[in-house]
Amino acid sequence: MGNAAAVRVIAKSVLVEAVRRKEIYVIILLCCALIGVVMTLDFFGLEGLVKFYREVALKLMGVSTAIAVVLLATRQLPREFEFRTIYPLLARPVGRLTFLIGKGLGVCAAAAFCFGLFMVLYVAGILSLGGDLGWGLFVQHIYLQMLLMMLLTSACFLLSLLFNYDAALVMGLLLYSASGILSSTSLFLYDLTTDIGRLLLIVLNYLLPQLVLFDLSEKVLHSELWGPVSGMTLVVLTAYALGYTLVFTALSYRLFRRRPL
Amino acid sequence: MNAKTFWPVWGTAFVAAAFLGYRVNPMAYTGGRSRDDQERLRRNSSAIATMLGEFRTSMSDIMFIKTERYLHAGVGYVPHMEESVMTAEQLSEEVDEHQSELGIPDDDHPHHHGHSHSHSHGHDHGHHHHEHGEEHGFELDHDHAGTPTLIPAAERDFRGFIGRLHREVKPWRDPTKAHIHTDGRELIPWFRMMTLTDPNYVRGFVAGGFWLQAEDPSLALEFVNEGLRLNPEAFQLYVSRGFLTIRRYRRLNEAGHEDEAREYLTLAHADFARGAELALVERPEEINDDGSGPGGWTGYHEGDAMAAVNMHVVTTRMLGNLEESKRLARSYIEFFPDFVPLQNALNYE
Repeated sequence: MGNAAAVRVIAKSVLVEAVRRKEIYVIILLCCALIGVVMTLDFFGLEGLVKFYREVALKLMGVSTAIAVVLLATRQLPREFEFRTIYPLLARPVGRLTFLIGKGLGVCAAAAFCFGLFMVLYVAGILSLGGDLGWGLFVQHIYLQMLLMMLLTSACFLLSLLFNYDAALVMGLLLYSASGILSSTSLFLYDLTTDIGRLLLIVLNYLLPQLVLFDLSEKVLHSELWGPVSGMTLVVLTAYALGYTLVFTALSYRLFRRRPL
Repeated sequence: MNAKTFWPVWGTAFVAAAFLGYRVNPMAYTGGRSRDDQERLRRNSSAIATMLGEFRTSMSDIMFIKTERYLHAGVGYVPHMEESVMTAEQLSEEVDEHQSELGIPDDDHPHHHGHSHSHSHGHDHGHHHHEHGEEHGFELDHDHAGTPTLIPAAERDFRGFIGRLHREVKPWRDPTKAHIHTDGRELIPWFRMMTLTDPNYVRGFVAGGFWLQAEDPSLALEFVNEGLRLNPEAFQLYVSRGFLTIRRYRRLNEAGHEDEAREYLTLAHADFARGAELALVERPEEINDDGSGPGGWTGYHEGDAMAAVNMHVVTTRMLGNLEESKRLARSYIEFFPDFVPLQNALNYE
C-alpha cells in the first residue's frame, strides 16, 4: 500500500469513527437547540432583524466545531496507545509520519463534515429570514475556519504527545479560547510594560498561533459594508496556517518517532 | 452509575435544584456599574445571587458594548467604551435629529424598514457633523475622527505583519477617518437581551426605548414601562418616558389636535415631576465638578437629574402655571445653582 493510499485509509477510518461515535451529531444537535431557542425570541414583533441571529449562529457554530476538533484530535494518539491498536497498524509498512498525516486529515475531514452541516443550516436559516449572506466573505470565512481547524488539529496532536489525554484536552481548549484574549491583552499591555515585557510580548506574538486571524465572522455579520478580503491576505493566511501546521506536525513526528511502542 | 445509586443521586440533585430555585431571587440583585454601593451591598446578601448577578451585569455591559460595535459596522473604538454615556435628554435630541436628517416624518409612520440612518444609542455623541455615505445603510460622523481603534493603526501596532492581517480580517477603519454609523435598527435585539439578562439594567431600557421609538413609539413606551415596573425607583426611566411622551405631545400639537396633545403634556409633566422627586432623593449632597458624587452617582445621573428638574419646570409652564414653574425653579436652584435654564425660567413673563 502506497503512502497516499495509507493516508487515505487512516483518514477515512478516523472520519468513520467520528461519525459513528455520534459525538459530532450531539454537538450539532446541542448547537442547533441553542440557536433554536434564540430564534424563538421575539424582539417586539419587529421583522427583518437578522444580525443578532447571524452573530449567535456563527459564533456557536465556530466554537462547536472547534470543540469537536479538539475532542477528536487530542484523543487520536492516546487511544491508539491505550487500546494498543497502533501496533498492528504500524506493523504494516506504514510510516509514523504517514500515520500522523492520515490521522490529521481524518480529523480535518470530520471538522469539514461538522462545519459543512452547520453551514448548510446557517444558509437555510438566513435565507428563510430574508437576510443577505454576503457570499464572498462567507465563503472566505468557511475557508479560513478550515485552516483554523487544520492548525488546531496539529497543535492538539502535539499536545497529546507532550501531555496525557486529559491535560492535552484542557490545553487544546485553552489554546482555542484564550487566543483572542491573549491577542487583545498583549495590545493593551504593550504600552504599560517594561522593555523586557515588551520583548516577551513580541516573542509570544510570533510564537503562538494567532487564531483570531481565521475568524471573519464579524465582517460577515456586517457584510453590507465590508467586501471580501484580498487574495493576498488569503495567501498569507494560508501560508501562516500551513507554517504552524508543518512546525507542529514536525515536532509531533519527532516526539512520536522517539516514543517506544 | 448503577440502579442502586441512580435514584438517590438524581433525587438529591432534583431536591437541591428545587431548593436553589426557591432560594435564588435574581430580581433581588442589583448589578455592578453606576448604582448605589450601599444599596447593592444590602441586596446582594446571597452568594448565589452575587455570582449570577455579576455574570448577568457583566453580560449586559458586554451587550451594551456590542451595540456600540454594531453601530460602527463592527469597528471597535477605544473612547466609546470609556466616555460618559448620554443622558436621556441628549438621547432624545439625538434621535430627533436623526429622524429629521433622514426624512423620517413622524410617529404616524412607525415601521420604516431597511437601512436608513442613525449614529448614537447611548454615548455622548452630542451634536455632530454627519454626512450620508454614498452607499446605502450608513452615514459618516466626522466629529469622532481621530479616536483610536481597539485594533491599533500600523504606526501604533508592535505586531508587524500579524497586526496588518488583524486589520484586514476584522472590521477596521483608519481612526483618522470619519466613523461609519449604521442603521440602529439591528441594535434593538441587544437591548432586549441585555434587559432580559439583567432587568435592573436601567441604561439598557433608556437607550433601547429611544431607539425603539424610531420604529414604533408605542413599543418604546411599552419597553420603558416594563423598565419602570422592574425598577420603580429609577428616575432616569421617568425622564425617558417623559421625553417619549412629550414627543407625542409636540406632534399632536403641530397637527392641531390640541386637546389630545394636552393630555400627553400632562402625562409628561407627571413623569418629569416624579423623576425630579426621585432624582433629588437619590442625589448625594457632595457633587464633584464633573457631576459625579459618592454612592455611584455619575455625570450621567447628574445630567438626567438636571433634565428632570428642568423639564418639570418647563412642562409646568407649558401647562399654564407660570408662577408655579417659577416657584419650582427657585426650589431647584438650591440644588443646581449654576444651571442656567433654571435661572432663565425665573425671567419668564
